[in-house]
Amino acid sequence: MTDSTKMNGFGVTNLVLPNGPEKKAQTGTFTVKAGLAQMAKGGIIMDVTTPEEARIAEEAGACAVMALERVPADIRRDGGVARMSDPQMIKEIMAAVTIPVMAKSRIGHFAEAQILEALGVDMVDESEVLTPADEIHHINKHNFKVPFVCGARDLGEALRRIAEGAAMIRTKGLAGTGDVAEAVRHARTINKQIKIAQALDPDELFNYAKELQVPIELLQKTAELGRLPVVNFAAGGIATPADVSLMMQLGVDGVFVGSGIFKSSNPQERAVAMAQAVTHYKDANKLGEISSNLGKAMVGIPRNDALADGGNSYGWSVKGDKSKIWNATLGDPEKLVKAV
Amino acid sequence: METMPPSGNGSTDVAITIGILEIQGAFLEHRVALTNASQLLGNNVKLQITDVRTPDDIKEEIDGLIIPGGESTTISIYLRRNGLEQPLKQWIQTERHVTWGTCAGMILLSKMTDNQKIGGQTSLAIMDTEVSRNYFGRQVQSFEADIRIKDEQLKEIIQNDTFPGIFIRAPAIVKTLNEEVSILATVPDQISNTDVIVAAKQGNVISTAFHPELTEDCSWHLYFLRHVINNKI
Repeated sequence: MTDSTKMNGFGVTNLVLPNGPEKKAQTGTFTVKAGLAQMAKGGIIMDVTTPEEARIAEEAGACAVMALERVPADIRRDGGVARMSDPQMIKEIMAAVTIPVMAKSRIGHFAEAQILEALGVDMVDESEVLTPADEIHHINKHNFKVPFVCGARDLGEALRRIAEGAAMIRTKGLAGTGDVAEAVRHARTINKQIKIAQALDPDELFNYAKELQVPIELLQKTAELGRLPVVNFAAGGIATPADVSLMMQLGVDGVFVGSGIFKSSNPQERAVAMAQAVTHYKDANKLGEISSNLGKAMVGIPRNDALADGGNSYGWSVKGDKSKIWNATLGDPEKLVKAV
Repeated sequence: METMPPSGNGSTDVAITIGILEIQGAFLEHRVALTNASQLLGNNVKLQITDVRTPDDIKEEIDGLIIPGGESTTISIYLRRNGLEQPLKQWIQTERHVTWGTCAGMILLSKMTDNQKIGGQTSLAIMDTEVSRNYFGRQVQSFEADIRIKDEQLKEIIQNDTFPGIFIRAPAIVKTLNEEVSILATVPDQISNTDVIVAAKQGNVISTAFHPELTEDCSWHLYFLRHVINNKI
């Protein structure tokens, strides 16, 4: 129907009038983008590097896979610049499974994201695990039809990413370490800040929005809902079914597991156990069962060791520069220091 | 109007229990929409919502069940691994029980499915329909569009001939295999310019390819609850 122009001044009420102008199909709306994340809730998303691994993940019950050339543990070990994966490899993984396939672009690298969108991936992870391409700006995710997931360490980062169009948030954690401590910190920080926002008077929220450097509307929405206004997953250092349960009990909607599965001694069984853990996260008896005889978990690098040589070292970070990602997300750090 | 639940100051109280299969997907959204819909039914409808995660949760006294969207592959693997498939099938086939599957739920309820994962996937195989997974394409082709309501009772509840449909990597019914299957709604396919079936009903089983739980409008949940209540009283 093309006669939406025939609105008669009572256009608004047409919503409830029979035979009102029919809405034509619209792709790439925020509802549709956030909707994909909503369909992933209560699920586990696994990093895979080959079609075979993707099949293992699908059979284990992953609700999506993240296609990438090197898992974070290898990126951390190898160092160098980490970039978007080979499109051919991503295509092969897309052909191998029916579940959604995600892929990572560098922070701010909108050209990589455009390529991933053209490939037809189901979601793009603008990821700090890769070397940031832009130290100031993130991708304007409103310009894309493909949904984005972005990492966050606190409510400020989360809401800024949502303002840029992210349809899903995950904790940053400390990918590739097998140490869940940072993911816990980020989830708890976000929870705490949401509780603060809820406790504040509507008049005080304006100032809190200023402190967090976020749009007031998003903060108001968050306070009203008592949770992030988009789906929120845990990521970064999750290695065991117990880690999954811990994060789920901290209130996240689902989990990403990167190196934790294919860097363990028995990926197939661990993948199944981790997938089972997301649904049975409240059932300690069941968790005990599924955690039994899984073999060795991935070799972990304790958080303090991983951070010892400076910053959020993913191999790419400059020694001593402790504010690399912080710079990219908060603008000029100088101003911040003065403001405090 | 004996078959309708009394609204306002009626005298009979109805207590109904709805189970939601909480394995993976938008189950919380369904919970919210059900609660909103039950408020529209008035005070004498007492709604209880219970989560279904293990075979023990599938109880005879549950009156209605929602199988939410999520990934059909993921949910079907889970059903088999946790021994839920048979008890669930039995529960659904019990005369008085009403079942509603959205998106992945539609795929699981269908007897025939195209575009399955390698090695095939299990299904509850209840409805005489042929469903095509990801009929409209991958996520970048996911869309919002008005669907055309074909069922009179739904038109009355929605108070419109159309409803805002949200389609996320959605399936569609490409063929109905039995006259008992009635078409509830269709959406115009932009490419082939034909009407595609996106909601159907067979006996007490309803399936929708789109996600009413992602919209503010809880008409479809109201429609489902009315069925449950009618079956109960």
